Amino acid sequence: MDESVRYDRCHQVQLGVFNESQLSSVEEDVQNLPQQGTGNILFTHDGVLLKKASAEHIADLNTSGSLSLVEYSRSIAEMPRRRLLLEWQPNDSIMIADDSQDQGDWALVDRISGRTRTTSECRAFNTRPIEPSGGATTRSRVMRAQLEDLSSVEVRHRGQTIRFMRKGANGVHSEFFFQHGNADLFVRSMRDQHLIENAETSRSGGEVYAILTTENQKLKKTFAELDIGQIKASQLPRESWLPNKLAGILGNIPDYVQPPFQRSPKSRPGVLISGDRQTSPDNYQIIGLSGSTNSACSSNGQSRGGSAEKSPADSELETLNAQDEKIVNNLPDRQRVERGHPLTETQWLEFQTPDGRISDSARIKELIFRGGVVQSLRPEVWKFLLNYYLWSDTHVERIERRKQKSIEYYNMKAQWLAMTTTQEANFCGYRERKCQIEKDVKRTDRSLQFFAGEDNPNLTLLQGILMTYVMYNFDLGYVQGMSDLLAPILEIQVNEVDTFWCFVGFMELVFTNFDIDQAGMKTQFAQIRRLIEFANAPLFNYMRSHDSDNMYFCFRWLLVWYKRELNSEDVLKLWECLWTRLPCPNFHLLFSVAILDQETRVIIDSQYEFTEILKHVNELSGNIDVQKTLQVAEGIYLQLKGSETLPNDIRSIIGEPLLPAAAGEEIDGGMVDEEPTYSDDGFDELVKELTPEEKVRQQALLEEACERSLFLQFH
Amino acid sequence: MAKTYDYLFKLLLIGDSGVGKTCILFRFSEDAFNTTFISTIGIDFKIRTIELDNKKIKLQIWDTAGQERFRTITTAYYRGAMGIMLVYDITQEKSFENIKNWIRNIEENASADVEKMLLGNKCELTDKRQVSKERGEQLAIEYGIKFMETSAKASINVEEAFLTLASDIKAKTEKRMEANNPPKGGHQLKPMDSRTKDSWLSRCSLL
Repeated sequence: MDESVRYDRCHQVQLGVFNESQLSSVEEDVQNLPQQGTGNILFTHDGVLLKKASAEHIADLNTSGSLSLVEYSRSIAEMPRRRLLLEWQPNDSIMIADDSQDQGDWALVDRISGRTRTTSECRAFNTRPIEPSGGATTRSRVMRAQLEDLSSVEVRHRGQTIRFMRKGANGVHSEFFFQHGNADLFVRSMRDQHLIENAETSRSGGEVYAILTTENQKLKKTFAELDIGQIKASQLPRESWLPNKLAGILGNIPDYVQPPFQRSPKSRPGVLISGDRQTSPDNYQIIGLSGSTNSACSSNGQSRGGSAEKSPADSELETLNAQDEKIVNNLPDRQRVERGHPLTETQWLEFQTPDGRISDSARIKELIFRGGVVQSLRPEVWKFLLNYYLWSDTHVERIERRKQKSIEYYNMKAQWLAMTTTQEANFCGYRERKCQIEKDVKRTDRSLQFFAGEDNPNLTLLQGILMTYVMYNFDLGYVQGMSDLLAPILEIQVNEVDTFWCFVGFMELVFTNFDIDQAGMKTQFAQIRRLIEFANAPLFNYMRSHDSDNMYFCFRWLLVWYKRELNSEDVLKLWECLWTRLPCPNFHLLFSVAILDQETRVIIDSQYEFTEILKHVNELSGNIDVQKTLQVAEGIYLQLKGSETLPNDIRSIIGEPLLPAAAGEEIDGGMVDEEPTYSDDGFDELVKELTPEEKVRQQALLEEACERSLFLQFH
Repeated sequence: MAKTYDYLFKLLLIGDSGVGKTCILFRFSEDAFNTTFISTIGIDFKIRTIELDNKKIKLQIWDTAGQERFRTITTAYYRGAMGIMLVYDITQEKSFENIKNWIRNIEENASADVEKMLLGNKCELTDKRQVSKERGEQLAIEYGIKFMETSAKASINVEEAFLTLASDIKAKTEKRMEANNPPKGGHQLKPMDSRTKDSWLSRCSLL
């Protein structure tokens, strides 16, 4: 009687789901249920809404339930037959079952226990829990589909939705919304079972995976297991199957041999335990989940779902990209930005009021940031950009200001001109600064016409202005690199006084580069490191594993704002762009990130060690496309600015308002499962970095002691 | 990447700003001199392969910014240096006096067994000399290292300085290898040592 009832229910439900031949198969399957029991649940996910399905499930649309992959098997003749079904079960049916008088307390306990077990086991990637026999009565509203009837699965909406496509007509079979935003975990589980493989990215931007046929599943699984046979020896396919399919295996080997062999070693537990790099199969498996938003991939020019023939470098890049995927899930797409035209004299006049004030300096700065300034306007506009002239001053006020500044300049200049030989002999600090200036002036921009030749009066001016700056700021004094910053300003301004005060304005922006403890430089190294960690994880991970994440190779870039890397004209264009302080005061750091973004592929593919990275970076000198790099830098800035989970330390670097602590906690709470793991890694990294910091402090203390002893020796 | 050399030696040039470190390196790597060199910002290196006793030795020579406040950056690259050239300018007394500070800097940042050599550069400027050759020799003896006066401009002793340092490193390397394989090559090293010393002495007499 009971058996008869079960048969009728199953029969009624399945009539509308399967076609005639499949119905016949199901009937056969049903007839054997009493002997084999229910199938094995390979993995299951809770909190899954049914969004689209066939007509018979309309009533369950937008209902929360659980989505599972279930394996059924029975023997036909001498060969085992495996059948995989996708099953979605609404939560309602569970409630009905729990309320049923027939089931009583026993059913309730069993149901809860079962759900807990499958969820935990799924997270641990443990397979084959057995569903209790009582479950049969709750499958009346289960939506089932044989995997063999589906052609592909697509991940959409950044990992919140997956869609299954039918074979043949390629229509949508069903669509599921994952309330926890972990659809990628479901897809990963399918990959782990070798049920799917990468396909092309769909037009709508989601990631598509082809569902493999049963035969191909077996082949891929067999090869993967061969690689880790020691661990999964007990799961090798039965001998009776191998001889009969030998020819088939041989025929298919070329299609499947390389990918598993290349990838599987990285998944070995031994490698995970002993490997220095933090690579895990979890990270590896999510390659491509959000490829369209992956700035690193797009900048590297990597094609999605590449060919099976991949070099070790490509494999490593994939691994690095896998780690990147986790991080940049929260980075929006990179925008394409346009550069503009230089500010013209006509535009400049339009912004001036009759009495000479500059109206709307913000708009002018935008124009300059976008396109710079025409050559003829530079002498005047630079005075404003470098705070020598004030935007709000009238013509008359500017004349008066210039007069006062001139008096101040010549007073300071007179101080060092009046220095007697005796005074100089007794003034160690002054002698050191003067000596260094003399050495460096001789070797500053001598290849340029303006500073070429012996007895060049411009060299005299250069030296005089630097000496006066020593009087203006004796504590900072003269440091190598300052002559590099002054020379282009002198070439534009020509006038000694104007040049000096523009230089003062520039030094206000960069003086920390020259402090004796170099704290300013170290801060910038740390900031670039942090920016790259968030915006270009593949490169960051590579550099960290190759002793190059101290960013010291950026030293020359930062000290003199790329003066040694660009031709004269490009230096001027870059500087006036940066002097606008748009889009944020640290945009010069994003310029570094942008240069490295464009070199990521070369650095990683070439397997550069820290020596080669330094050499490569130094040799970029003269080969940097300023306009392109500014575009990339702005694109990266907009990506970071648009990220909804940007950490406060990065918000601080790019000049964004900091999030309140509570808001920060909310954001953390909303992260997907992997984020906490990554946060832990970040914490470990922070702990590790303390030691180098301590060393740096000790180094500084030692140097201070050396200087004191040196000072004492002179007395 | 197929190896095209028998040894790779990493060398370091250090010393006060303006003493001629970059010019020495340029003379050795390109055999040229340029009066309009720009000051070194940060760090860079050049490579040249030489041959010593039928061995190809690839020299990776690092050039550093000399100004003192950049030391925390430049010392990060001291790791792995096998030989260090301490350079002073014979026309600048201060640069000679600072050699002891550079020695201390090495002791704190480089490996303990690094080969060192003292170079007094710009020896062609006889009329501006402030540091006598004898004082240079005396300081070298004091620290137990070799000494040469050089001129990057006039191409005096630059080649000899690098070959001498490389030879000393090679001898030390092979001695270490010999310690791991006692039966091999012990006897052959002695003649080379003698030749090296003779060569050095004869070069010294040129000055």
